Amino acid sequence: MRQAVVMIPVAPALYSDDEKAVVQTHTVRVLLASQTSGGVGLVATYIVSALLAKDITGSATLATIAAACLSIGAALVSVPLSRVMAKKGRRAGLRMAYLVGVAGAACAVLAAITRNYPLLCLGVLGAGAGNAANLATRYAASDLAHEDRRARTISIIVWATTIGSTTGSVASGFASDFGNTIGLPDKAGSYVLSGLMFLIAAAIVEFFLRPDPLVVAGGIGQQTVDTTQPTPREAMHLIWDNPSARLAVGAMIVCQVTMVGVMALTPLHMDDGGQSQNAIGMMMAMHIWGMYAFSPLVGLLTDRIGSFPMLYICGGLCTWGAFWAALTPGDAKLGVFMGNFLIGLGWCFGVIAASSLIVSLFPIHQRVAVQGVGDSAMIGAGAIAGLSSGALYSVFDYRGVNYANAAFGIALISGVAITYFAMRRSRIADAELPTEDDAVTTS
Amino acid sequence: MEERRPSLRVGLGFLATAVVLVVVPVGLARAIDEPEGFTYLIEIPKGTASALAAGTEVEIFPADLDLRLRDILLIVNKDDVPHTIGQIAVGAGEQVERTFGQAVSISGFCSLHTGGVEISVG
Repeated sequence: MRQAVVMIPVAPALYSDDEKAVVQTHTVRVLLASQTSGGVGLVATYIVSALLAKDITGSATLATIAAACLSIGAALVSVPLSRVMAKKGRRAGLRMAYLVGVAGAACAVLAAITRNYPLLCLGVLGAGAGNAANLATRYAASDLAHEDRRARTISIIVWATTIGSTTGSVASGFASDFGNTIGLPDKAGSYVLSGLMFLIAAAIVEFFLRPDPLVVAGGIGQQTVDTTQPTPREAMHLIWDNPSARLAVGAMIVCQVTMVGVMALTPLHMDDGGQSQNAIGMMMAMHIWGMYAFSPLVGLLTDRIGSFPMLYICGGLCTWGAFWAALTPGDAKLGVFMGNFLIGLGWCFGVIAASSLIVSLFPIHQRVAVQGVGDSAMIGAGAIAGLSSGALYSVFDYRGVNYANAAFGIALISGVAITYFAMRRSRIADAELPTEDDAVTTS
Repeated sequence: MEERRPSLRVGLGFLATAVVLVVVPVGLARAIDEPEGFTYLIEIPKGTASALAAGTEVEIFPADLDLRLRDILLIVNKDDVPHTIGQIAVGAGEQVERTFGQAVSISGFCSLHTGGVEISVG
């Protein structure tokens, strides 16, 4: 295997610390705006995809597949996106992904007009690129973040998704209605909104993400140092060879799988228990609240106490939430509400702490590739969980699936403990090794 | 420290894309003239309920109905009692028209079929 070149940039700094701080403040503001816009686009697609697919085909299974295409698309685009960013910078990568999202939304509009299911899936896959761009934004914001504020910066971007999600949920309905009034078929207006919002996000990035944070941070564009980016395969090996990175990616996978699984199945469980649509909507609101509302606080805590304790708490929250939900019958509210809230909160702890850990583990020129592989693994695992959730529900029931989710949480807790003690042992062993001076003295 | 800003042409490109994104679908939706749906008439004759009560076999329409999108189902009840066909209730002497704009599967009780009815639209 060709090893990735690991060299710390030693070129004279092109930007002073003060200049970097100014660029970082500007970068975070720009990315907050693009993330909010992209978030609206993402939610506008997410809300109508399953419904339109069901309208076209009449099949709930095919509807689930269409909705899962959003995650599949994001998983497929994450690695190429990271390669573009590694070569040309954050701006080029984010702009490309958002523009692919625009093309995807346009495809979905055509699918709604012609009532063509394969075209709809293709369109939603393309819109998944917008999802990948939204996820990559948190890393773009962290490029220039001071290490003491890294998790907080990531958490602010995660929090911006709340604004996008909330606005997108409301705007999607208005866009569909407005589309009908100007002659578009049902739900096509929501995709037009999605395309426009991705386009605005691309324009914000293109016009205002200047200078490129990755260039300023030294990740690309420094001719005097070797900033060779690892290939995706090398990035996978880099993750695999580093126990902390393995833990971080594993934690993101656990969070995503647990979150997607419970989010997909709880509405079915509550519906089977005879609960109203309002109750199901409130449960979803609690879940999303848990995912995003406390993210700035979670970021602050991560910076204060470190990623490992936060990942430990994440495992605990996922386990607790999954158990609580599993033990709650379909006609009861407290258990499913709190279970979903805790799993959402666990996701927030996991994603922010794991992202911050990944950023801290690798030098700037390796980060982008590693981040792409990590995100691809996380979203891919979530897509598989979403696709298989219906089948698992019919075989193992809500309780069985949530016991499996709780087992994932316990595995994460164990993983954190094992990695922590292994690293501690290794540090003690390193400290006890005789130095050259010791050897000379003894001889 | 500031990088060169993109040209006006790039800005116009974004603007043009936004216009295309709205105008083309609207034009296309208007250009593609959706075909009119077919009207299926189900007429329930007078005395149907009495005939069913007497154990007589009544065959007005098949228990499995396959319709296409935008098809219209017109149920005319000339009987003296209300009838229900898979969640569609029709009062005595009344008629109900239902247009199917979405793929759907309606199954359930049917006062004309002992085994119920299934209406598939797709």
